[in-house]
Amino acid sequence: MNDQNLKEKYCYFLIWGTGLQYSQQIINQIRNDDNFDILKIKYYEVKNIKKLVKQIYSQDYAPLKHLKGKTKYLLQSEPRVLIIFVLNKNHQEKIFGKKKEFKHIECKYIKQFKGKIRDQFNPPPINGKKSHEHIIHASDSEYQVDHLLKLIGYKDGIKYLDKKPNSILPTPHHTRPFKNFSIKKVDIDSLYCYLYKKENNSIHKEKIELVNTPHYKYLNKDKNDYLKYIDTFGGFTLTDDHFIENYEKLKENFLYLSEKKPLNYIIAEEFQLNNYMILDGVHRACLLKQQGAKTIIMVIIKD
Amino acid sequence: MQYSQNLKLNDFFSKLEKENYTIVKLSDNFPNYFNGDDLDIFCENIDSFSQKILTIGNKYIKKNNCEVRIRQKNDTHYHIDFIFDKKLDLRFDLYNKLPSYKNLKLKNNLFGTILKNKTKKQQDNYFIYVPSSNEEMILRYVEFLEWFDKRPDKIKHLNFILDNTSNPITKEKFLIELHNYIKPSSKKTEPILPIIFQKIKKIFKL
Repeated sequence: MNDQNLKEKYCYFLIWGTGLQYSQQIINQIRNDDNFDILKIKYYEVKNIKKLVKQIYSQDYAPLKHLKGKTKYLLQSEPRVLIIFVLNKNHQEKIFGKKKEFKHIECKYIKQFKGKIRDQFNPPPINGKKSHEHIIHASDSEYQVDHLLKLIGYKDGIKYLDKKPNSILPTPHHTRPFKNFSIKKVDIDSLYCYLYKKENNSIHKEKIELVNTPHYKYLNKDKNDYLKYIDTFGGFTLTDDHFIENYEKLKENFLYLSEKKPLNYIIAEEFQLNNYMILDGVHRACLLKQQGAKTIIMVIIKD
Repeated sequence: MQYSQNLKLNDFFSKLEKENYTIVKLSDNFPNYFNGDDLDIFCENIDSFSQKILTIGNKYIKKNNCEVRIRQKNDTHYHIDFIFDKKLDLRFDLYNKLPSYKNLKLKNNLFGTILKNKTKKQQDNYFIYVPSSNEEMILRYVEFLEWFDKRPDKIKHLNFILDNTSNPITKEKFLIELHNYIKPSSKKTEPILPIIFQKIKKIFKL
């Protein structure tokens, strides 16, 4: 579990089928909140919504019998949920609940944030009473995050989010671990990346030059391919925050290896003599190419 | 032989004052160095120390034909090599635990003691940290024992010890501390030790 800083805890927001139409607005609000780092955005296709509701709420503080009536509306919802895993950098543990059986610990900030989202997107009040048909649920503890990750197929649970592929460099948790690497300038035209392709209902990866990626074309006013790409794979095979809004945010005042982030290198490996496959940082490489860079300082993994 | 002109070590060490580290077996030439040299550094937080080296290194990669190669040999020993024109220019040899020596075993707590007793050495407008004189001699002594049969140049470490132990009190203090940190040797190293001790005895006129 994340013990490095008591103020930092892993957390998730789960948007039920009833709220999926607002998912982009909700993700934007999470992204724009400096207290959260989005780690993973994942759709989960639900085979049995009743079972999922039970599994989610079985980890809740309140006894399941109290939640049965409150979650009835979910049984009719779209059998798909969107889960946003975040690092909450403003964890404020507090005891809530008056009656003994409802007493529980949760983060005050997450509770407030969740409440704000519910006020905006829950169904409108009826006869002046707030709707309890919540479109969003949030975890109260890292134990619940661990449980949900395991439930949706990440057998390492919360350890998956906690992975540090390299102890010196800040690298996303899904990069493979490495201990031998070099940092050097690389010709920008020697960069490639993998792109997902969907053919005959199967998904495969294809090697493609940086300049031919939808990501690069997006910056050159040909936005359709990228929109289609994200629409097809965002939240499924692409679980980083690759949504347009985040790309636009990155684009604003983009400065590679800035004073604040001097070690956030683009990471690649050499797959052929002097040709490199980007493992992390395709968007940044595209931005640099568009800014006119001929070479990029990057990390080349050697093991 | 000319000093390397590739890296300005002042750039690095002026920004490392907040780290708990010490440069061991520091050359008299510092901050100058020759192509292919290495700097042995004991540090409390090897990752944070490495991050600072790399941050400063970015400047050299940007401007010159420089590559930095990092090898994390294990969790306690990293190499950070600055390569210019495909040749090793300088190696930062970082440890956050005592290196293991074949010919002599040292008690693990020596590492913490070295960092605790480190002394400041004034450079132009900043400090670097080096081990206390006694502990510097222990490390040089171990280095000499480790390599004396293969690397004749390691005699420089013994000369350093001799130069610094002309005073009988200093000599005694050094020998007491040295023996305090030596662990009984393994079977494998036994045959070599009598030869070494004979040499040492002769040199120290014991």
